Amino acid sequence: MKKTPYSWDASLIVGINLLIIIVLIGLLAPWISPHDPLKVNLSNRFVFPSWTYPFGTDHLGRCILSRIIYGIRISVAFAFLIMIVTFIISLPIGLITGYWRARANHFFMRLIDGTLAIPDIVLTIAIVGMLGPGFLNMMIAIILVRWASYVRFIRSLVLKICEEDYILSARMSGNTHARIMRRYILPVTFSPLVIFGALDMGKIVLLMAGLSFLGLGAQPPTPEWGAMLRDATAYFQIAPHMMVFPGVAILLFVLACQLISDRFKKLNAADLKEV
Amino acid sequence: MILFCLKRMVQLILVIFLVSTLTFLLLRLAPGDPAYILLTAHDVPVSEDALTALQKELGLSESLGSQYIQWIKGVVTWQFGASYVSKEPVIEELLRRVPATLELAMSGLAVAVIITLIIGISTAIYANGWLDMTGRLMALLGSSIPSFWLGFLLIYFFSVQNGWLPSMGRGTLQHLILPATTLGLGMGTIYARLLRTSMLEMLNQPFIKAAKARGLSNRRILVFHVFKHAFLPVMTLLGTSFASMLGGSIIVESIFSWPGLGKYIVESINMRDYPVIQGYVIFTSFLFVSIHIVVDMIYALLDPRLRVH
Repeated sequence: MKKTPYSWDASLIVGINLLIIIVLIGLLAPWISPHDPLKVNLSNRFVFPSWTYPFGTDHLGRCILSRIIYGIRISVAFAFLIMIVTFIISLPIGLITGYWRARANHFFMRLIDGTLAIPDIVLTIAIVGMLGPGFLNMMIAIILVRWASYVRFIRSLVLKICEEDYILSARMSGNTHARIMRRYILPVTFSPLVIFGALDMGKIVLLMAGLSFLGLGAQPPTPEWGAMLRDATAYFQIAPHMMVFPGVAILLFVLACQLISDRFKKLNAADLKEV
Repeated sequence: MILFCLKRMVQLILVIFLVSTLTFLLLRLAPGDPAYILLTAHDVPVSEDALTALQKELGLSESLGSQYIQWIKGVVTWQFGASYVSKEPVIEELLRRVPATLELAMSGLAVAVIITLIIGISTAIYANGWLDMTGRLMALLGSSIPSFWLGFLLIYFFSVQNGWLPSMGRGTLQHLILPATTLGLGMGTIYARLLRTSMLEMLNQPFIKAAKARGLSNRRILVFHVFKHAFLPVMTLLGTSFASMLGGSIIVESIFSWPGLGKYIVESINMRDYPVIQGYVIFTSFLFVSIHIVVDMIYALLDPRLRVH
């Protein structure tokens, strides 16, 4: 079976463009959104999509389009923040455990493997449950849960790089371990990590939306997509547009992340298998 | 093999120990006094006496170390205390809800398998045609669609608009269709893609060439010769994905008011029912790690090369 390289590139281009458009809309939110996302107008409840309200209004008469546009800022910005913090935590751990393959190290990975057997959503919900519902606690929970898979991925990358001959020659020419890690291993991990991060942004946004949907994350009146869907649950029989548009927004963002990482997924899967 | 099993048991114990320690620390680190939160959650005006009485009852006045030992003792004997809301032992409350969740996860898996078979085989037969492109698109959508949104769309079309299927509760087969589809659809489309690729890769094998040489039609070869071998790797993946079905059921249960573990934990969190939350964490961790280990052991039984580790 031959895969035309063209089709892969096409999905990458579509994904990147989609992501750029979404981020741009989010950045330009104050100029683009037709209304104030938080302005309550009770005489205008459940308006169906029209010229003044392209996506209609919700149960408090707020403009759904404006809320979705401001929602980009919340979902994307905080997903990015979560991802960066998780990288900061897991990069040194992954590097060190990948570089020194000691016995304790093996033990540590077994522990991580074991915790990874528990689905993200279960652990996140449990941690939020203990800390109490709220946006900050949700972020903490996601970081606490996601770091293990980051470590696993980074470690698998490092293990692979360490087999290369140039690492051996770097060692033979008298570099210290710290220097090898910094100068010879870290730069090589960069591009796979970007791809991994792109895919994970989608996952984090989905997780955040799911938790907010359950009422454990973003609280009203925050215009977060999952929280908007939660509002829609009570009214979607009379106002289906309340449910449709936030869902499309989540779908498009996650789809963009998927498309970008699609091209590299095979590589990632092969890497993960070797651990 | 015995050594392998022993190692896995040690792993299970270690993970449970880690999780229970984390649970203990998180609840103690969480802002606010648990006794105070508990009292305010019940809408009782908080008096100084009631607070100290409850602190004593929960063992909060003791040192952190002895509290921790108490908690670990509870984990070992599966005593998580009584639910604040129903006053019944947490472990009984949890066990009572397990069958519903298992039923949902199994049906979700069944839906995923059916979709995998139908889409996987048909896209492999018509590889690179329009059907194949549709399959690819569906896999992309299937991996990006939020389950809570999909559940809503299904409810809207099948319950609200047409009234064909019930949208909430558990009981008959009709009640099961929508939640199981919500749970299994996305995974089914993704595995269909894997099955297709696995089948097409198999086409280069010598035994396929032999079948071709005997003059069998392409379709016949794919369905009767290739499928058998190509399905095995996908099947093993489905085994591991049972855990993610169980995880995904939390959200699906909440949408469809399915009386299982997931709906219960979300309700308990909203009521601040801490013993239930603690019990749930330990119980489900045990469940998931056990599933992981059992799957591992089955692989090791099937493939001796894996036993080395």
